[in-house]
This record gives sequence, structure tokens and C-alpha cells, in this order.
Amino acid sequence: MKALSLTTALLFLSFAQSSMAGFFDLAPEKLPYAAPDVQFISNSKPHSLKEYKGRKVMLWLFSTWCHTCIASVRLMRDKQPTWEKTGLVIIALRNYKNGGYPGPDMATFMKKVAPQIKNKKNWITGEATEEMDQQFNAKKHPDIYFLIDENGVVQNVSTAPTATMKKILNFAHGTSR
Amino acid sequence: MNTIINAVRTVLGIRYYQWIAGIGFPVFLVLYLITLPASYTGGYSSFAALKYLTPTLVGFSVLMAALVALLIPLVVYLIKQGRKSSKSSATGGLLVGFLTPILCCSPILPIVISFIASLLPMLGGAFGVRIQGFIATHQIELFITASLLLLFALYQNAKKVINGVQCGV
Repeated sequence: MKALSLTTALLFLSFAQSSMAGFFDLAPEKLPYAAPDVQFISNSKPHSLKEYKGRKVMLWLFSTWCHTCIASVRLMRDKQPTWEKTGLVIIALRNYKNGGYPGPDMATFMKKVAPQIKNKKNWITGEATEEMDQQFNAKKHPDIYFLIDENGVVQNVSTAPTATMKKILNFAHGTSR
Repeated sequence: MNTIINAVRTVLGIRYYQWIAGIGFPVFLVLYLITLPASYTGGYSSFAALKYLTPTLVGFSVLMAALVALLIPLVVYLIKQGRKSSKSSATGGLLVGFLTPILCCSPILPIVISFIASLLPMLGGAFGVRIQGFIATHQIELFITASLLLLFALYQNAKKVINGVQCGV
């Protein structure tokens, strides 16, 4: 009887998960809020989020050991014509110290997963700083992104573009936050 | 192996248990097929996750669904015979199989760990990362463990079916 109860519980849990996308509130503050201006490292140089004010930005922090991140980078790569058309800037950064678990560095990761985006102007890749980690990803999510509008305001926070692509598309097209 | 074959023959010789296995296999196959690729969708298992299936994941889905579909009739048979069945390794196999892809890259663990860390500060967020990192980088090994646990559960219950162990309760 216990086995049957467990089986039923697992069945319910699995199906309930299908509606989990967007269930968790990942935003560190109540949305919308002004994105903190912190630095990150790209091409071995420090850059600031402020540099991208006036453009729609997807700030994406992920760890290179994460399967969702690999699949999501591939999906985002495949949608490059859409991002070029809508002007979305994708700042894809490896979590500070890769989130605390070893994995390939960002250059190796991108070369393997999405070499096509190397010279694309709307893709900025690099490493998150400790300050950025504390401001944007204090809970250490392996995969988290922030949709920041032209005024530097965070409009949406989510995870796994493979499951939440609609949010990014709506933001890029300006149809919804 | 002979123990399992003989026990399965005994139990599945009865139409009622054939039905249980016949319904159990497709149900669990669908469950595994949509849950195992959840590690590619942030832990969200849905039919949309099917496009991230790989031949390896399909193989594990078929294997684990088949083991569960054989296991359930044996457990039900033992219960109906008033005998004690072995459920702990079956439970372990089910949990490892289902939780591995769900916990791998989803927000569940960081949220749970940060909640625990607010009560026990020594458990920082890095603790959750180590668990998630381990799950993500050892996924195949964990699926093998889940399959072996299910196989062990099948063997344990098959032995009881064959030996006719009396219920200890």
C-alpha cells in the first residue's frame, strides 16, 4: 500500500512540475527595481552595467557545469537573428568562481557550446565579479537571468531559458515585462 | 537472474498482474521520458522537455520504467498474499531516478538551502552548489545507481515470491 501511495505521490509531483516554470520568485527585490551598477570582467577588462544603459539587456549568470545552461546557451545562439532584429544585448557571465563548483572557464565553454557567437556585437561574455555575485545571485542559483530595460530597470528575473524563452522573447519584442 | 525470471513468470501468469504491469510500463515510461531531460530545462518536467531527450536518457527511461513495471506487480502480489515486501530499495531507486534531473539545475535547492542557511548560518549557499554540481556532473552514475536499486528491489521481492516468506507482522 505504501508503495502505491509513493507511486501516486511521485506521479503527482512529476506532473505538478510541468506548471512550475515561473513559480519561484527569484528576484532579490520587488519587481521592477533599478539594476545595481556593478562591474564584471569581459576580455580581461572590467566593464560596468551602466555602459549598456539605453539598450535592452539580458544579464545572464550561469555555471558551466550546469546542463540547463548548456542547453539554454545553444537555444539562445539559435535565436540570434531575433536578438539582432530586436537589439537585445546578452551579457552572459560565468558565476563568480563558477558558483563554487569546478567547471570549464567561460572562453572554453563558449568555444565548445556556441562558437558562432564569438564576434557577435550583441553578445558580451565573461566572468561575474564577487560584487556582482552578491548583488545579483546571493542565493547561488546555477542559472539566473535578469531582463533590464533601456532605463536600467530590472523588469523580470527568471531561470532556464529553455523553459522560459517566452519571457525573453516578449521582453525583446517589448510586448510584456 | 533465475529467481527474478521465475518470480515474474509466477506473478505475471495471473491476468490481474499482467494488467498492472501493462498499465505501469507506459505510465512510468512517459514519466521518466519527461522527467529525465528536466536537467536541461531547469528542473521543469513537461512534454516540452521531450526535445532534450538523448539516446542515453531514452535508454534509462525504458530500463527504469520496465523495472518499475515488473516490481509493482511483485509488491502487490506479496501484499495480497499477506507477505512482507521489500520497499526501501525500490523507494530509493524511484527517488534517485526522479530527483536527479529535478534537482540538478533548478532553483529548488538554492531556495531550500538559503532558507536552511537563514536558520543555520554555517550552511551557506555554497553547500547547495556542491550538491547541484555533483548531481550535474555525475548524472549518468546516479541513473545507474537508481537502476541498480530497482534491480535489487526486484531481486529481493522475487526471492520472497519464490521462497514464500511469511509476513512478520
